[in-house]
Formats: sequence, C-alpha cells, structure tokens
Amino acid sequence: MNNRENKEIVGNENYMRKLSDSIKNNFKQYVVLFILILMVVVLSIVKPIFLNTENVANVMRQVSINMVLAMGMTFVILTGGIDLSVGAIVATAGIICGGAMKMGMTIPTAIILGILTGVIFGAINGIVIVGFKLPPFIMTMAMMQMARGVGYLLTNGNPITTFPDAFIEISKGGIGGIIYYPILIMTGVAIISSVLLNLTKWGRYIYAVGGNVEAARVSGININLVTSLVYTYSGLMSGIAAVLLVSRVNAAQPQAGVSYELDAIAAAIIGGTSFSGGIGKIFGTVLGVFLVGIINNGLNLLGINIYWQMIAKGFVIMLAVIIDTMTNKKEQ
Amino acid sequence: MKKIVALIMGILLAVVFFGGCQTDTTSGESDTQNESADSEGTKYLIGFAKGTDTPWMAILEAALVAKADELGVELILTSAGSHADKQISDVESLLTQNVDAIIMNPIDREACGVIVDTIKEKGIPLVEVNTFTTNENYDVYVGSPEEQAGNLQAQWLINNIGATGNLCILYGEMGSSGQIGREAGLLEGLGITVDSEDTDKWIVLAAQTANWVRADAKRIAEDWLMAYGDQIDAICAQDDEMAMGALQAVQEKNLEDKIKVLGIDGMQESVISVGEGGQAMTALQDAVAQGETAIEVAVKLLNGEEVDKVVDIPFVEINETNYEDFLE
Repeated sequence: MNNRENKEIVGNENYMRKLSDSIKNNFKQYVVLFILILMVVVLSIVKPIFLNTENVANVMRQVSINMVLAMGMTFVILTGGIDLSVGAIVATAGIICGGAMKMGMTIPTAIILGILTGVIFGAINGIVIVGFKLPPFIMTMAMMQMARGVGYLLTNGNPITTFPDAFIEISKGGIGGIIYYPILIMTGVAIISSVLLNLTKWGRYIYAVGGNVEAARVSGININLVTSLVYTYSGLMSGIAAVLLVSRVNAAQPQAGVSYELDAIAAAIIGGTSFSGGIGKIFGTVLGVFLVGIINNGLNLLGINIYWQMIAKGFVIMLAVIIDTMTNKKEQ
Repeated sequence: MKKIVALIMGILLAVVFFGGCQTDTTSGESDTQNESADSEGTKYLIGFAKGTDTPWMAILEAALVAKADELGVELILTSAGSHADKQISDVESLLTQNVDAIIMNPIDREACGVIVDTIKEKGIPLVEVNTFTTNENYDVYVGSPEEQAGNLQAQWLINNIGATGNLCILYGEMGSSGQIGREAGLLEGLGITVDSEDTDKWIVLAAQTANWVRADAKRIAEDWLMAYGDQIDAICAQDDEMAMGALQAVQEKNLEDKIKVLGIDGMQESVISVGEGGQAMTALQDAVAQGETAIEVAVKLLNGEEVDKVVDIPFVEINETNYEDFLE
C-alpha cells in the first residue's frame, strides 16, 4: 500500500516535471517556428514568386538530403555525441551504389548496397565508440578520413556518372509532377524518426542516456547498445542520403558531401537540440532544416551578395544557440 | 587488449611497409629513366618535381617524358602527392643528385617559395609548370593563365549569343586563383563589371559560389531559374563540375534551348555533353603542350638561350565543332 502511494507521488512529480520541461523545450521550437514564419511572410511580400508552388517544391527537394542526415544527427546529439563522418559516408555509400549500377546490378540491389554501406560504416562508428570508450568526436573524425579514403581508393578520384533514367527518376520524378519522391522520402524518414524517439523504448533510452548517463546506467539501460545503435542509425541515414544525392546530380564522386555534417548539425542545433544531449525534438530539427533551406533559397531569389549570405547563415546559427543557452539558464 | 594493440601496430606496420614499397617503385622508375637516357649518351640531367597525382598531371608527365627522350635529356622524376613538405625534400634530393636544371609543378604558391631560393642558390635554372610560386625568382613559368579561360567564355557568348544578354556566374571557391582569374577574364572579355547596368553590353543578373561542387551548383541554378526564368541567356560556371549541375537544373525545366551553360576544364563528361548539344562549351588546359614546352624551355635555358619569363600555353576551346578530338 505504502509502496503504491509512493509510486503515485513519484509519478505525479514526474508528470509535473515533464509538463514544465515540455513547455520549456517547446519554447525553443516556438521561437524557431516564429522566425521561420516571419521569414516566409517577409520573403513572400518582397518576392511573391517565393510562394509559387514550383519554388516551394524546389525548396522541399533541395532540403531533402539535409533533412535525412539531420534526423540521424539529432539521434546522435540527443545522446550527447556527434557524428562528423556523415559527409564522407554519403560520398562512399554513393560510390558503392553508383558502382554497383555500373557493374550491371539492378537498381534496387544497388540502392540496398549503398544504404548497407552507410549502415556498416555507422555500426563501426558505434561499436568502436562504445567498445573502446572513444570520444565520438575523435572516432567519427577518424571515420571521416577513413570513409573518404575508401571512396578515393575505389574510384581513383574519378567520378562515376550517367546512370539509368529510372534511377534519376528517384530525385526527378514524383506524384503529379510536384510532390517529388525526395519529399515523400524525407517525410517518411522524419515520421519514422519521430515515432522511434517518442514511442519506442529505444527512443526513451536515448533521452535517458543523453540526459544523465550514470542515472541511465543505474536504472539498467544497456547504454552500449543504445549508443551504438544511434550511430548505426546515423549511418543508415547517410546511406539513404547518398542514394538521393547520386540520383540528384547523376554522379557518384569521392569528393561529394563535404561538410554535409555541418549542415546537419546546424539544423539540429537551430531546431533546439541541446549540444549536451538529452533535449531535443524531431519537429525542431525539421524546422531547423527548413530554416537553413529557406535562407539559402530566399537569399538567392533576392539576388543578395554571396558574402552576405554567409554572414546571414552564421548569424542564424548563433542566434539559435543564444536562445538555447538563455532558455537553459531560465530552467536553472 | 594487448592482442588488439599488437594487431593495430601490425596494421600500421603493414601500411608503412606498403607505402614504402610504393615510393620505391617511383624511384625505380626514375632509375630506369636514367639508364635509358644514359645509354643514348646525353648531356643534360633534369629533375622533374611533380606536385599532384591527378589524371591530368599524368598526361603532362607522359608528354614531358616523351619529349625528354626525343631531346636526349636524362630525367629524374619525383612525386610529392600534394604535400608541400614532401616536395621540398624531393627537390633537395634532386639537388644532391647534381641535376643541371629543375622543372617543378609547385603545390603551394607560398610554401614552395622556399624551394625557389634553395634552387637559385645552386645557380641552376628553374622552370615552373602549370602552377607558380609567389616567389618570382624562378626563371620561367610555363602555364595557362586562368584569365584566358574566362576570356574564352566571354568570346563564346559574344560570338554565339550576341553583344548583349543576361548572365549568371557560378564561382568556384572564393579567393582561389581560379575563381579570381576566371572571373576577371570573363568580365574583361565582356567589358563589364559584376554590378554594371549598361544595357548595350552583357548584364550579370546574379553571381554566387558553388565551391566547385555539382550539387550546390544545381541548387543555386534552380533558385535562379525560379527568380529570373528565361530572362537568363547564359550561365557561366567556372568549372565543368558546376556546369554539369547547372545544366541538369536547366534541362529539368526544359530550358536548354534558351539558356546556354558554359564550363571550363574539359572534363570528359562535359565533352560528351557538348557533343550531345547539352553544355555549350568548355575550355581545356593543354597538358601535352605544357609538358613538352616545359622540357624544351629547360633545355633552351641550359643552352644559354633567352626565354620569356612567362610562357603562355593557350587554353583550347571545346565546342560542338571540335569536341570529337577530345573524346577519350
């Protein structure tokens, strides 16, 4: 009896804390959402073509690769880690996918091989990080070198180009000529990621590990498994992104995907994912991806000087982190 | 744990060993080069310190070696694999082998300047090929000026589209010698600036950097097509990678008849595209001419002949009339 009452009290406290946490967490996302809406409104007044269906579809297609990568990155950052190998894995997975097609394999086989390459590289990241207690920064930085090295080794630095039309259709085609397949793919990936984080044990454990490793360990969570799966998931996302990229530019290149990890990290951070782990939402990252994409698109439509574009992007990231630290202070 | 450490050490050793073998083979090559030249009883011994290992540079090297054979010159080859410090030690080892002259393809404008002084202290001729150092104490630079590549694009625009039109420029990495030089050549050829609004001449609608990256170029071109549509007459990309990206965006909007895409570099994919009526033109640095001229210039210097400080090897324009000559 006593025990049960205790549980209820603890449960209530938990609930109250969760509620207030959720308001504070969502505050960040509301700010990003507000900035996003403000930008859309301003852009559509200054440059009405911005809201043209064709342009909206363009932006969606342009952000699709970063969207997929940012999903994996959000998982990783939620555990308090980082994945710097994303761009390099995209390049090499793309080469495997493209190379497989050139060797006469069917398109589905090539796609599966490409995605599998990403999964394998990601799994290696995860296993080494938990197995040898390597800081994720170091391991994924090493993987960034190794994966890209493999890409160069396989191609001798030369691009693999000209793929079957059916493969190009993955990025070019769509339903009704406007809902392109990449848009469907990124939407699917975002929904699955959100479900995994919110509705599965693994998702809850990710938050637990990122929030407080020791507490997670004490409560019996298999931290090694949770963590290594997170990097594998990021690898999976890199594999999917690789297929999208190769299809989009009709070329698999060892030098592709440079600094894609930075775009993915930026999107997650802008979207309110805390760099120290434990706090963040897929919805926030989705907003972050769109914010970066709309900045790129909008500034191009306005014909703004390129140096200003660099400054604008950097400024938004800085702003997002300032909001992040300010809300964290409030919590304390 | 010890076993794992041993395993890692083993792998590292193997890597070092094989790496070592590779350098051995290169020096082996140069030895045979030595011998074959020796048997013909030549007078000059020239060192070629190659900087990078690109496919393009391999063509230059082959042309240089063939020409050296023809001229009866002994050759020692080194390759720095894009590392400036390796190139410095390469040149030092060439100097200890008492070469009569050195041909160098400097990797870094600044860092390789040290080498120039070391060589000139020995009092032997130095020819720089393809790239050059900011240290101007070298004797001759043989290469293709970046400005000229941009200029070829400008000429193509004027000859094929006309004296006026609207243009978008896709820059390479901002501040790189290619970006600066090719832009200057293009604008000078058209007699305009990026901001000029003289409707009797070409007008730059937009200019943006895609950092030599195809995917970025495609994204930017898509945005331009939204903003300016078929107002655009041409997109000048500063290399073929970016040209391919822009071309894809143009083709997806079925605007390839209205908007011409120009590139530079003579990348094989672009040459094929030129043949298919996709990309309008590209320009190629002539690797064979650069290699042959470099060795000729070195021999001339050794013979005491006067050579201009800069020997320009023109870029070759590849367009629909001559693309077949450049298909591999």
